[in-house]
Amino acid sequence: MGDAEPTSADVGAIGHDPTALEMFYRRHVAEVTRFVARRVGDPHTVDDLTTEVFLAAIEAAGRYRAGRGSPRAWLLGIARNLVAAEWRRQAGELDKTQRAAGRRYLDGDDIARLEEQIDAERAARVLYASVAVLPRRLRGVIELVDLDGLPLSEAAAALGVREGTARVRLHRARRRLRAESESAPAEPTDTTFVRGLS
Amino acid sequence: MSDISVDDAPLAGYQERRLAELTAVVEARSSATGRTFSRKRPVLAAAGAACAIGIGVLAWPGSTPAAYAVTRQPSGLVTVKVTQHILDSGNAAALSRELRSLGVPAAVFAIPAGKMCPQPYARTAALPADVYQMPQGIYTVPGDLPEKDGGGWKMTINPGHFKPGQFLVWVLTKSGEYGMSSSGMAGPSVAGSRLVGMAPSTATYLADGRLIPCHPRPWPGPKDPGRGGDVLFANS
Repeated sequence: MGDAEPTSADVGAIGHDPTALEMFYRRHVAEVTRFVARRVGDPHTVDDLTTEVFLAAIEAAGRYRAGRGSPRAWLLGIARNLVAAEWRRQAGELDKTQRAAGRRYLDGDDIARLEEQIDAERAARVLYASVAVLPRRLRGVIELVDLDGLPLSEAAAALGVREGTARVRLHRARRRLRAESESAPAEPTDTTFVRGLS
Repeated sequence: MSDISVDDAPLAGYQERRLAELTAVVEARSSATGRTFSRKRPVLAAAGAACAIGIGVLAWPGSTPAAYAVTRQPSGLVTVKVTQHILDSGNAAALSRELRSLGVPAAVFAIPAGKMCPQPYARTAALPADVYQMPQGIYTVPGDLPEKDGGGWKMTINPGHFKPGQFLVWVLTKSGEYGMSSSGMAGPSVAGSRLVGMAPSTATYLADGRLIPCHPRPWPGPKDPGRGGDVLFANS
């Protein structure tokens, strides 16, 4: 497998070609797992959501268009929507028992590997909690750019907004967070976070 | 271990299983839309047989669950069960990666009948006398799983008994012609044997050197319809 970025045809094929799917999965699974683990602390839920991201990508593959962003941005956009849906589901306590019953089996080694990744993203989850003070529109772009490390153009594609709009929102979000940190009592994690965004 | 890498970095076991599930979803979608990823069933189950390199013809009923399983026992032995799915999907690379993630220096190749995979930088190694004995050996000859459980193959491997640089090459052939010799042994169809039908086959090799990606090619020379998939080593 080369390093060349997949084309629209490559991504479109994952809905019907197992070989294309495998290449796509192998290329992106680590990043999707990290993306989810930055937002969720339970290994079973990280596994479930990562699986659902790829299932949704398989379903939506035929609608992917390269002009609207890279495959990574497209996939992380899907992941973001699914994580948000999971939060809403948890908030509403919906079908919790049903989900647990339908989970795939994870043995001790599997859980240990997932927990390693979840632990590695622990600091990021603290930072995510910090940006919760922002309005949703501002929060999305700062999450993707400053915490997930996406270029601004890809973050814009993942959010379905123009790059200029994303740039304005990012600037406003950073300014709001800086103001929040200056008015709040000093805490080590907040200080680190704001420096990282400056 | 890097010498036998024929694909990217190995995935964890749960990631491999997830990939197998996703692949099954895509295969089902392609079948539903009439795309060509058809499944083909063997038409005959034959009794097991083994020779010096471990070639066998194995029982294989038609309807089987789509899965394979690799488990590591507390003793360190690794047990592999292969069912219809691996042969049908041709996803031998996933099985290779899962074996390697459990410390087994192994490469699994799915090679069609009548084709061979050139490996000019790898050589077959001399087999110890007790190679197939467990726990002192290295791996068992692939044996039949009970038909009531869906059939397939089972093999036990002792990762700790490979010498440095050695690895297992496991060849899976989805379906080839097989015959019955005058002595009643089932095996690849050869001159003088009676053709009895089609069946999957497997071969195992203990080898060393370096593997390259497997690109099956026709065997050189006259066409031999009874020849299963195989590997052509530097010292073959």
